[in-house]
Amino acid sequence: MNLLRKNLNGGVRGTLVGLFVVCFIFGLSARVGVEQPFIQHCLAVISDHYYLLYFMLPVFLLLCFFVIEDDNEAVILRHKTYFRYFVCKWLSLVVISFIFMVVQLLAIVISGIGLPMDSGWLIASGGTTEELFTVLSSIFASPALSFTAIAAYMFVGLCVTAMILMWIGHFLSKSWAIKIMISLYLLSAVSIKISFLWELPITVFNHIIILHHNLSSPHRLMITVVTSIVLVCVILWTVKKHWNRQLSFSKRQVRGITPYYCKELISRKNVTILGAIVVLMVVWKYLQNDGGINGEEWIIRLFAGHGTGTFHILSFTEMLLLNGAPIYLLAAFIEKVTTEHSAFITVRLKNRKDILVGILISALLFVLVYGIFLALIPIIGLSVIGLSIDTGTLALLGLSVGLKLIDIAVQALFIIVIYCLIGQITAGFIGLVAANILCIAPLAYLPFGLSSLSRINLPLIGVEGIASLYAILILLATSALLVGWLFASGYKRLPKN
Amino acid sequence: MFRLIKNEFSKLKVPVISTVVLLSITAIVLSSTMYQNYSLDYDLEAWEIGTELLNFLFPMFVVVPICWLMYYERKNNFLLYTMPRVRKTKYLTAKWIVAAVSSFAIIFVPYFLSAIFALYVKQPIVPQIITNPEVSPFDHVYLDMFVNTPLLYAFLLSLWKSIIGVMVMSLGFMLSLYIKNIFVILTGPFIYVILENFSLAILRLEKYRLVTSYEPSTISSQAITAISPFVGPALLITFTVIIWVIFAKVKNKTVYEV
Repeated sequence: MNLLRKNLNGGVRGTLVGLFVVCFIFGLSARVGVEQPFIQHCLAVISDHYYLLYFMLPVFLLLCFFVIEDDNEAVILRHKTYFRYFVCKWLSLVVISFIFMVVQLLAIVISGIGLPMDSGWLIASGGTTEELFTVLSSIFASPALSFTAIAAYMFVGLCVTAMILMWIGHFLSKSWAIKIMISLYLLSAVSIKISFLWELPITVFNHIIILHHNLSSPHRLMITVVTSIVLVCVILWTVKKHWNRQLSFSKRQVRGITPYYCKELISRKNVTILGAIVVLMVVWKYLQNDGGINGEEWIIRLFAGHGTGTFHILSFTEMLLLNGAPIYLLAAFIEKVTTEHSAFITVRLKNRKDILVGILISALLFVLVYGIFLALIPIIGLSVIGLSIDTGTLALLGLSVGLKLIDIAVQALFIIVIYCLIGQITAGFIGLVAANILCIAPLAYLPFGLSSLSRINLPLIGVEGIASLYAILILLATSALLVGWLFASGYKRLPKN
Repeated sequence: MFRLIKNEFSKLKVPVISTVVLLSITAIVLSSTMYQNYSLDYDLEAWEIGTELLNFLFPMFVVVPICWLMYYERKNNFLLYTMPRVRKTKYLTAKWIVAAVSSFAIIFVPYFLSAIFALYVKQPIVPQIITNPEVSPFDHVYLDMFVNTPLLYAFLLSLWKSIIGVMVMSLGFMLSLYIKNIFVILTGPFIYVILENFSLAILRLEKYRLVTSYEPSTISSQAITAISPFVGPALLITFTVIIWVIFAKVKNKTVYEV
């Protein structure tokens, strides 16, 4: 009881109020333009895909996040064993889940006041809920029964989810728990859009909480139930027997200058900027989208870049932004560390190559981080637009991101080489912009900006250009050349100041 | 003040004059050659085609040859030695005046010279209307002036471009007063112009971009309204002021750092 009172803190209460308001709004919006009986309205709201995946689930995770951390030792000691503490805390979360459900149901019921009280199935053809209701009506005799089943399933699912989250929160440090929670959430939000993920027998939050996600194939519900039971058993067993252990990912002590460079370059600010640039691009393509295209065409538009032999300012700017964002940050970083580089650092480094190796490794990691954004954010964008994500789209996305990464690596090496030669990173940047502008000339094999899909020969769209394999070879050869020069003689010119 | 200005100019004259000369040669060559692949009606169109690259890169050309100076004077503490001899505002004003005149020259001379070459030196263009009468009627912003008094049009546009150049340079100058990373100083205005261009294009506000104000022929002439050329520069000035407020008032940074 005390635990419950403690766990129902301000954050949780505020979240519940927010849940009520938003759920009510969703309920009202479900009424607009639809004629259906009361119970069916409730059913439509509680199985609304957008509401469940993009609002209810994150809110519940947030709510659990407020309370999953272990209380201090005095509180645990009062329960005699950790297992008993765990169960008590889980029971308090069960009560919170119950309140959570009650708040939702209340909002839904209030939003449906005034609708006719028919009890049979009345499926309007052409509506957004038609498909779902057809499936449900084949299983449940009446909408009321179906609504009860969905709500009960959701309640049980929320309790199981809460237990899983508590388990993660206990055995992992807070930062890792957040990361795992977010990635599990993304997996549940995205998996419904990606057909091959959907067919895999994995169970994520959405299966545990949302009943109708389990009705897509005959064995799905069985898989979910079995996985959940196994998971709960594992959780209870580990909590009972191994409660005193913690999974910690201790970092190996890394020496040398590389970790300092990495910390400087892959800072939170820089990573945010990279993410923002990709989001900007995706939003732009989203706004440009006039419908009637599939996922692959959308990916091609996103990574189209700029062809050769022409000059179109907007697409050139787009290419420059998408390719240049990590390069620009890298250049600013090189300027900063070489300006601050003091003679003492040179003295402590055993080898002059260490500076070059440090810069190259941190740049490589930075570009890889960008690659993760480039791969993930378009997938989210695709699922938000509502385009299907099949294997072809994913393969194309993989190819584009891979090409883009090697392209960016070549440009980054180019800027470092010019910096070594001239000693001004600004000169490197100007040189890079100039090298990109060379695309005015009809040079099909120009390595700068070669990741633009408008220069690659794709059989799907029929764009003329060079084969992707050749493009990769050209880029790899160029980067090998640049790296070779850097290690042969370039490193002797670092640092400049 | 005059001696200060003269002094400042002597520091900048080599990069500025060489930029002016190089850009003029490039602009003249491009304006008198690139038009041959296009079908055009008027001589001044060759100028527009030839200076297209310059339109894209101008923020670099007005900032890079000029704004490095302040950074190095801060870095090697030269600025501190000027303190006993001349008032801070006077010194900075003189510096800005020289920078403004320089950036004005860097934009104005190449554009106007290449316009003169496009109008009077290269082979006159045979209007496309004569060779192929089926094309749609010619349309251009400020059509009357563009067709009848092209030299005046080129002069006024070059003047306006130079003024925008001075504004862009001022942003770089402002950055060079406070930022310690020369790369950000020298490329910041270019990035600003690119980002502004891109984000306004996303929002379908093409007519308010700085680039549109700089080169009105980048969008269709009907879209240009009376105030649209002034929105981009106004945004730029606002941005410069915001940067100044952030550095000078919020972060309490001083130019003369001991």
